[in-house]
Amino acid sequence: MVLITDLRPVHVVGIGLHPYQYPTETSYIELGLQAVREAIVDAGITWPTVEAAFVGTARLGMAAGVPMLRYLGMTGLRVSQVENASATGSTAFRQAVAEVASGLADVAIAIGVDKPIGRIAAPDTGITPISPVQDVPFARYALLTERYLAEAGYTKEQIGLVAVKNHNNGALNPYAQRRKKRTLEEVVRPPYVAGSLNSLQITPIGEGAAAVIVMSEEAMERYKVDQSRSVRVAASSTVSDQAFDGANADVALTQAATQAAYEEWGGDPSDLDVVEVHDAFAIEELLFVEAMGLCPPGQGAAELAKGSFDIGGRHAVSPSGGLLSMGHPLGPTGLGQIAEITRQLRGEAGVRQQPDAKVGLAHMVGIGPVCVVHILQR
Amino acid sequence: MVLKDNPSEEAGPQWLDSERGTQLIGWICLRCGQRGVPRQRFGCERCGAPGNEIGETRFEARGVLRSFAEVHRHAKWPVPFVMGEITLDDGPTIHAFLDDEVAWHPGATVVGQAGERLLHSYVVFTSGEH
Repeated sequence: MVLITDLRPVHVVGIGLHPYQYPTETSYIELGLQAVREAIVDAGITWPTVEAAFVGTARLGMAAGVPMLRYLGMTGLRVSQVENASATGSTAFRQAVAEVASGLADVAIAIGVDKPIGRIAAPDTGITPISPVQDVPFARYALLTERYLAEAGYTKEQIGLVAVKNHNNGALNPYAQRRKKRTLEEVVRPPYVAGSLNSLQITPIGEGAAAVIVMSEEAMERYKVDQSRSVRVAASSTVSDQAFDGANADVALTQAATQAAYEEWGGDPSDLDVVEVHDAFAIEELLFVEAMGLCPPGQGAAELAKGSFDIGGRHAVSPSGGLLSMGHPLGPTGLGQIAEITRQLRGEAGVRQQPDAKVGLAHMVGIGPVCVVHILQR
Repeated sequence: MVLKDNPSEEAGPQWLDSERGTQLIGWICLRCGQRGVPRQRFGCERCGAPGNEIGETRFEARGVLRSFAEVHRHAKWPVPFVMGEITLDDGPTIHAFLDDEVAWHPGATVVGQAGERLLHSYVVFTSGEH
């Protein structure tokens, strides 16, 4: 099997975002254009330079791309729409990277833009469920949370510390949907949405946009892109469900996808400076940092409490605020992670800066389940 | 029994009552033996055998409660209701409604029976401990 990094090198050269926010009347076109224009300026290029666009959206429906991109000037670029549930933006990024790595394009853009308006196909299988819990994601994750409280001996407070950290990080992020520091008491107290899940332990679904421009090294020379601000794509991996017999599929997928990414990168998880994790629910961060090998199994809560995952700690985990605080508008989310890691590796993250960050990992899981992991390196 | 070709035709109740109590209707791959619930006839999740090699099997609606959660908020459905993660004695782990009159604890033995939840019929699990 050929890996993307077996092909020619690809660099992230431009990032842009429209802040994530609770749903408004704002057109998705306005959301998307703001992110794309910011990314173009950030890269220091012009729109006609971009040869291919991958538009990631999970909820907008058919044909979102060209009706938005035409307002940048109708250059005739190749446009494709990408959907992969919560991993939509991550998958759009992978497609853009593959387009450049393969030589099909020198410059490509991945755009995530979404508003929570469309339907979800996954429950509409024709199979009568034993219960409709798939329609109630927070019930599913409440069950997962309660199971870990019982079986791993975690306390509500240990899980709550994930939310405290990520809300505190997000309070420092101008693109975050929830920008308020929270105390442990605020994130663990009633009322509960389900089980002992306080709403501050659940991602808010909203709207927003994110865009990332990738380029070949030849194009970076040609367009005189500032190489000191470019970040190389060191690994790209994606897997779908292969778990049986009651195993936690999201954890199994995370193990498989991160292991493949580590092999492609040739590094070790202990060398990761920044990690953006799919923390739609607080419990997920503890499960996933263990599955990724950032700490031994069962040690996630203790390492979190010690500050290992804080900005300035051993690995800054979700310095953007993660899905819990930055938000989860679906299409943009995975690209927002790439933008945050790029900012961190450039040393441009300001008050959220992880000192001397050189390597970052972005991780998303989506309904399916699917998992997409990227590693970026300065 | 091998089911018919059109999956939507038999999308109906996922359980039946027998002299042994409530049983969940599941699927079994006639090629590799993999089993699961709920029943479906699209194909085998393990070996990929097509629907005409998927048969019907039954699982005792009896198992061990792994975790439970009371749901307090839903856009459409009356709340609260209680859901559980249950590992059936016959193998699969499922999510299902729980009897909301029981003071649940992880590890409890549970048994399922037909019940009404959210204006539909579902298997609802209650305590199997006497």
